[in-house]
Amino acid sequence: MNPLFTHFRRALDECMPYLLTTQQNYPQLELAPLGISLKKRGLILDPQLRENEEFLHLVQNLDRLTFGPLEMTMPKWVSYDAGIMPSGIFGFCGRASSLDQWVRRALKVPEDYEGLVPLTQFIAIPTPERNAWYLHTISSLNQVCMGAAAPANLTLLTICLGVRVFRMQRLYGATQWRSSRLGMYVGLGPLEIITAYTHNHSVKKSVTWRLDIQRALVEAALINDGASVAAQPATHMIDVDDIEALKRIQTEIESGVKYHIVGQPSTRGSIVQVPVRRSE
Amino acid sequence: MSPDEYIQQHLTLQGLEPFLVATSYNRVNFNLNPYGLSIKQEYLIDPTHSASERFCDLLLALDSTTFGPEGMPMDKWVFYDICYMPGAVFGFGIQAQQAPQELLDLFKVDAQENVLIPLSMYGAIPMTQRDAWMGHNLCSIGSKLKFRNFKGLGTLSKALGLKVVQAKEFYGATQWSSVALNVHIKFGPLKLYTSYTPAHSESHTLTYGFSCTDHALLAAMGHPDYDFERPAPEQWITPNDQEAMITLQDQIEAGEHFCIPSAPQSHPDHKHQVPIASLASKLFTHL
Repeated sequence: MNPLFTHFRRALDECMPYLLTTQQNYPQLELAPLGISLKKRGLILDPQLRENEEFLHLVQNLDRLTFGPLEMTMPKWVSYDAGIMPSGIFGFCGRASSLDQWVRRALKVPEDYEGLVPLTQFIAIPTPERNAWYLHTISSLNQVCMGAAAPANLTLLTICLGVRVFRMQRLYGATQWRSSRLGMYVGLGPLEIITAYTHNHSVKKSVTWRLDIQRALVEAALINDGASVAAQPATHMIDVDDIEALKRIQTEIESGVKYHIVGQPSTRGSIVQVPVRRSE
Repeated sequence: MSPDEYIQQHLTLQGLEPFLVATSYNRVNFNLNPYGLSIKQEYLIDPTHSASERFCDLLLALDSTTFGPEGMPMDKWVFYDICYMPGAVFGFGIQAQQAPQELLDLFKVDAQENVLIPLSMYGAIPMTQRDAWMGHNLCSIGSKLKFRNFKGLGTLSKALGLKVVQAKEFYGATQWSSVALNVHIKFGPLKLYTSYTPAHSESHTLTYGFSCTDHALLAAMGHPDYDFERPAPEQWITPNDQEAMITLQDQIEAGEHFCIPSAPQSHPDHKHQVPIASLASKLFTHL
């Protein structure tokens, strides 16, 4: 096994990568991300074929299960218009028989279904900026069925391979400041803050960020925990619930000041702080 | 008449301001003078800036007022994630200070407020296939307004929006029952990619596409010098005929090619019926 994946042996033994993409998009994609051949070791499905309907329903059930409590379930038409049609869905799947009965029920796996079940999903949308993408969704069954559904850290493996599948050189995203996901993204490199207080998002305490993707840093994220080796030291700690501070930073960004998230969020008591680096 | 003259003199657009919502890094890839129609600096709206919030809220109001031709209004986060950040929203509006009371009331805007009131919008996102775009939102409030005739504003917004983003290929998804088909078909015969689409909220959805040539865009906008050859229909599908949709889907999956050649026609028992033609034996360069 490639030493990159030493820590992910269990995930690769128990799960299989999948890619849902149309015939139009298929030729543009990397089918052996970081050396893992999707043709040999994965599942490649065309979401526009009727025979793949059941698997697609399970992907949508996964979205409902993971985002439903946040009232941010992606309507199926959004998934079609913003995921399936412009790019695709990448993730890991496992045998339905590997899931506990209660997990099967939660995911609404049909009783007689013994096929493959999606465990994670990663959707990004291309942007007009060449090789730049916008992160639309990343989720894992582990978020709601901790320890009973899929091997640990499958989300990290999904995003590291996903950015390679879609040949990304830059990734944008919007994430709630309190989300633990920020810690995972910053593992791939420092995140330039585009908005610190996001007026046009349902959750204004969201950060819009930009990440330059480099293969070496993606590979490093699979091996090392914590912030990316490319991150510079922090100059500030942001209290993510301090709205006035977020607004001040937003005003500074709009006038040209640069901020980067350079480290893992830290939580002490009820205070969540994110290390950032300010540069004029 | 040149394309530029035709657009700049178009009666529907008189007194309206074009706007574009897109980030600064996406905008540099766009054509900001589609057919000579320039978008004023103040109407180039960057959704990552706080000053854009008021206008973006009015776009949400437009979406929920019209529900879009597809009947699927969007949450604020959906707008942000799939319209503003990866793609673009183009449309037309009127400054509040020049808007009639009817419009101010509809959007709950004060006549003295310095804000553009959007009347139409077209949202699209790029695809992995280079220069291909996916349309996901088209709406116009024109037909609901009494103070002026805004005939064709939706079509104009879509055509000019595609010119702005410099799309070469276009894809869209719509329901068999949708009146929006009457807009889409103006861009020429529509190649069918799916006729039955379980991956969509409505399985009775079709996925279609066309090439965004100037010919297609100008013909859609009604320029008299541009038109299409449209194949004769060979069959018709009504919006509830799932069996026919699945049969057609099976044929598409087996490698056959079909198009919607022309606009839906009336049907005595259904909302309308949609014509279908095979592309197999046609000398048909548009698609």
